[in-house]
Amino acid sequence: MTLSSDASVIDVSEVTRTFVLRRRTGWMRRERSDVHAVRDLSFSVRAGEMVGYLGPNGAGKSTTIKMLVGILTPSAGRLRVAGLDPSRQRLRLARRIGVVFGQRSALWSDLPLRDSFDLIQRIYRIPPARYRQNLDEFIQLLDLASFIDTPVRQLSLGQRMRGSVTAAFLPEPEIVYLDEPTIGLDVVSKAAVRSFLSRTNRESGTTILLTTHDMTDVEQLCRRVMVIDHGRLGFDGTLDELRTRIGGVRTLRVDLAEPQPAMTIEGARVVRVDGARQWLEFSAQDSAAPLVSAVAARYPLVDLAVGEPAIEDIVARLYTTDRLPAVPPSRTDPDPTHPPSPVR
Amino acid sequence: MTGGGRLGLVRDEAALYLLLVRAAFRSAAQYRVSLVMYTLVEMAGAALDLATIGIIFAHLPDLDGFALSEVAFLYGSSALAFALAEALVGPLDQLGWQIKDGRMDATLTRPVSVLVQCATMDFSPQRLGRLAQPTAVFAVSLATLPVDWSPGRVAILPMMVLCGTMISISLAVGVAAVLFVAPDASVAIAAVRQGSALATQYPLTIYGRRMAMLLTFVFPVAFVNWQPALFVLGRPDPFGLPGFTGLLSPLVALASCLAAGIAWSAGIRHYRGEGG
Ligand SMILES: Nc1ncnc2c1ncn2[C@@H]1O[C@H](COP(=O)(O)OP(=O)(O)OP(=O)(O)O)[C@@H](O)[C@H]1O
Ligand SMILES: [Mg+2]
Repeated sequence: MTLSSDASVIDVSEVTRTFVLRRRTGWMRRERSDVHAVRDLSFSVRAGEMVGYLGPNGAGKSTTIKMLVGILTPSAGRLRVAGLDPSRQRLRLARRIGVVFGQRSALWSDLPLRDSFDLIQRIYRIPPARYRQNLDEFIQLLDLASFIDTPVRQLSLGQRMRGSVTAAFLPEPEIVYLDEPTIGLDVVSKAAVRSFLSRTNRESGTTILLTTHDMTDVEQLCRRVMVIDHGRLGFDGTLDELRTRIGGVRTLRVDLAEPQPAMTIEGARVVRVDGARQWLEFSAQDSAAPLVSAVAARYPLVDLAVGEPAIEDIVARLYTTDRLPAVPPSRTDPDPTHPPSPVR
Repeated sequence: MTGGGRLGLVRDEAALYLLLVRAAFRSAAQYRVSLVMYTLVEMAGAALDLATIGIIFAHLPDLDGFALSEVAFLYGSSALAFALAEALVGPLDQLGWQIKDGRMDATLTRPVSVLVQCATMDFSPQRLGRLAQPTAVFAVSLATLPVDWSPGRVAILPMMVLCGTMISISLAVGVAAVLFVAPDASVAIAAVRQGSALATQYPLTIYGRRMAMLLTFVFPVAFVNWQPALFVLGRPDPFGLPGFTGLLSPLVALASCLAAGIAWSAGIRHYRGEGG
């Protein structure tokens, strides 16, 4: 990357957000406890990037986004978005960003979708020609035509989501945050939203930060992923790097001519034997070719298949290894009855 | 932004206010039947209010030394100020529900001040309709007051209504700011708002000295009507405050707007949402 650091549009440094919970424990007695939703979080995002922000439930994703919008004030640390301090300059920043909260629509629920868009045009002062052109394009890309004159409260979840995405992008913001934009969408709607996002990111250079629990979103959209757990950033890099770091293993399934005892092959270990079929695990960094020729040289090989680690498994493994640091990332003594990761 | 500086900002927010009021009217028009029903209920309520006042006045020709027309003047000016405030910013105690069901997050993402959005959110024609009754009482009291209308006294009247409205808006905004940290307090907030409206509808003397001082110096609703009214009526302050106190309303109004603004932005800063 040759972009200099001053091209970054989001700068988060050592940000912490604590929620103080006061629980009533008796007559006039209250107990105070602190929830550290985000701790010592630092990252930056350059203009035009599309970043997937992942983490298990309660990890601190929504809290981070709310601080980036200026809805929540950080307890400590420094935030800069488009050169502004979000919580202090929230109104000025609001004109330059778009936000989609998956669970909650920002549209006017009693007005037809089209009226909501017209209001947005007036509020953000989008030039009329520009507005009409964008709206026509978005109606087509997100397939809004059939319900654009329906009041928002009568829309289905997926229709409302496509409406919300449109509303967020109509003012042509520099940065858009999407908190679970594909939650509850059917396959067709998901595909429409995804291709809309990647197209806008590519053609308008809009910086996009999105959270999701759907790994297909990440695989199809995000070159960069950040993983947060318990309020701490556990990983920041490309999807491939995440695969090598966490999902360290690929699987080789071999079918031999007849049943054999577990093979002994350097650089791989057998994790399961089932008749003439054996499963071997090897490091994801290694090429499968030498392993295959080693097997073929010593055993009567009939068929084989190489399995990539599924992204869901990788992320699940990252969460669990983060939570249980006592367990080493790769087990040395696998349970032989335990089935290996699915072979694809 | 079309205009620069603070003035431009105020003008922009005013334009957005009108834009959102129009949107709210269009939303309300979606529910025609309930709109008509509410309006009928509202009109019946107003008629009942007027009847109550009539009955009270018929039986109490004079209240703590104040004549019927003077009590009507106090009642009308207070009710008008509070009704104007409510017409402009609405019942802000709704804010608590909005915070609890998560709508506040979306409100905070829009480039429109939270106050303008909350004030216009459930704007309905009824809010304007509620101005009719206080206006009528105020007008009738003016016509019947045994007051020698010097230009000074006449000039006090618009100031009284304007400052009264400002103080009552500040009060609504100031106490509603508490909801950002304690969204469950909606009912308490509504009580404070309605209580202060009620407290100013009668001569302050009926509450006794301690309460009157509280309503003068702490929750300064005495400046909504009581103090300027004493000036208009040419009466000395029963609690011995100097005669010019009634003219301090504009200062009190500005100070309460400032205090309310500070409380409001502190509230927003401490907003923590509901998680998720
Ligand atoms: N307003 C709040 N008051 C108290 N605790 C909160 C509040 N908002 C969030 N939290 C806590 O902060 C932590 C992080 O919550 P957050 O909503 O950011 O998680 P998330 O990563 O978005 O999870 P999910 O995937 O379930 O949406 C959680 O433990 C949550 O209980
Ligand atoms: Mg969340």
